[in-house]
Amino acid sequence: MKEKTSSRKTEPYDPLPPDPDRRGWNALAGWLAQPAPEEAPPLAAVRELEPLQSLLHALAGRSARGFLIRSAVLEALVQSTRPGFSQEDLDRALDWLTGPVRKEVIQQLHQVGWLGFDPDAGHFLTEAGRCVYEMLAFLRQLLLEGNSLPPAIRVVRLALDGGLDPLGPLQSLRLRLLGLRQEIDSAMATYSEAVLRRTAERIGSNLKHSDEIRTLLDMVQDLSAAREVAGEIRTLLARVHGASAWLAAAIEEVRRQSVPLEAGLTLEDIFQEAARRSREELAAVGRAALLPVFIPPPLVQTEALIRVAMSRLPLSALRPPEEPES
Amino acid sequence: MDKAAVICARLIREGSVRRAALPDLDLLDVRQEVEQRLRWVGLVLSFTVYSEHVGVRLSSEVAADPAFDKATNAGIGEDHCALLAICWVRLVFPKRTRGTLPEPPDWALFLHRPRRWYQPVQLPLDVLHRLQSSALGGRGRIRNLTSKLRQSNFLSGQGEIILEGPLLELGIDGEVMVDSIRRSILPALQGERDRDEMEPGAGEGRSEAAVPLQGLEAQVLAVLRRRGGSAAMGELSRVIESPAVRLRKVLRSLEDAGYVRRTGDRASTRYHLVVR
Repeated sequence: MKEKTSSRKTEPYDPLPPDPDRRGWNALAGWLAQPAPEEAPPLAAVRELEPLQSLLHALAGRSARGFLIRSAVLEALVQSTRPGFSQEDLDRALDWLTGPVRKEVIQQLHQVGWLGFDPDAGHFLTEAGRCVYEMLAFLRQLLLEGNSLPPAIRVVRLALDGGLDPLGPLQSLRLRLLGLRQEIDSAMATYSEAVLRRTAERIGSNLKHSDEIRTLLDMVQDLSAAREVAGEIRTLLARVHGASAWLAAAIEEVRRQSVPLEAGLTLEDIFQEAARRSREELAAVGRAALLPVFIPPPLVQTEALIRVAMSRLPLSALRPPEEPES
Repeated sequence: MDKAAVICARLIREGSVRRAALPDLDLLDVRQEVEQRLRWVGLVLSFTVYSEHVGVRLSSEVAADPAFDKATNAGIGEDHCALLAICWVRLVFPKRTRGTLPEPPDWALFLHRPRRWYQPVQLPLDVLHRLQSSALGGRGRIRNLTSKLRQSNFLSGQGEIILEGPLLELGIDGEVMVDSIRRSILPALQGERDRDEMEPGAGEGRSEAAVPLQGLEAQVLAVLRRRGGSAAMGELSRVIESPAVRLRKVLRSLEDAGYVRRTGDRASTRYHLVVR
């Protein structure tokens, strides 16, 4: 196949980063409080992830552009739906890369084990390559959906329909709801109408699934632990609903009170200008803006009073005066 | 005791409570119950996005009484009101200027939760004294006024540093303040800028070119004018938010054109607006 020529000079392709430290599970003891890693349940739970380290290391590489190229090559190979590729097929599938870069990428993919070669079938995507592709697809979906509830709802439904323990999926759903609640607080702390509106839209679209969630929660009956989590989810769902009302009020308030500073104008300018106003003018503004505040009445509780007195006064001052001897 | 009763008790006892400390207020039925209980005793729940606190204030039925005076109710006088207006502009108005920053893309919102943009602003008592001594009296008087506003929860902070108190947001109508800034302060500043930009070069010792000044040069002149016609490099750099190296070049060209006069040397250098 004829190489595409380009007037631009081809830059050297992203080389693989140096080999990482390969010590894994067996070398953990030096970092642990207990002699065996198996004794730490969180570590035992992630043991099977160990092979992913080399895959992720090779995927991330040194630069974001190298990462994008490798991801795109995987995408192209999977999308072509071929079981194997001749050299010509590969060139055709990756013709959006310059010749030298294409050659280096293919070499690299062979080197890290994502591509294999069979004399009969040609180049093929290995199990490791497919695994990386699936990880990427999952992460991409996560980026698109964010803290959204539908994926978690699907998993809960699958577990309940299949008669599996729903505890894990319910915990995941609870985490997502917690994430949504925190998202509301974070958005409110930005005082940005755009961020508030986008957050309100996201929360609104997620809350459309509330009825579905409640129906699923009604189906959770067997396990006490799962029932407890289901109860927490109900409360959280109600909290997200309620907090979204704060959000609606916040959007309106920010819309009415935002004052974009025009170019060249600073907050210091505004403060200095305000400070130059007469006492009467400032007092009139302050008085007009003052709301009918509620000043809490002083409430004294004997125990609290004694505690404060003891912390502030020397002990001698608290003793009753001695009776004069008669 | 039920949740609504506990929340009401805390609000009435403390006046304002951090929103994060009252998670049950998120629940619509609890909030409605709280609002109803408060309404029975002439209070309403007070919320603003600009405050981390939620509070209570007197309901409009109570405040509508012709004999009711909001300042007297808060136990403050005219001077306190003037000081409140100044403190509001310095301490909490910056939150309202957020809209000009670029908004992050969707994926950035997912990976990095929007960060608190606003860093709490401080107002040193010294600055207040320097700017307001002619209007509000000496240092002792301003300290007394501040102290009262701290007791009432409008301000917080200790000693020489004044910070925003919960009532500076919950007890002051932000819309009224913003409206006042839009109506009175911004047009005044804009007028000054227009005058600076249109300033003819006919002043004493100035070059004959009557080209309107723009950009940094116009800003420097505006700041000098606002500072009473004279400022040191440090002040100019801080207010304009531009490095001294850059300002020095601008000032030199303004000096050459006869707009500005320089006195002193090194640390004692000051720049003065040339009076026409």
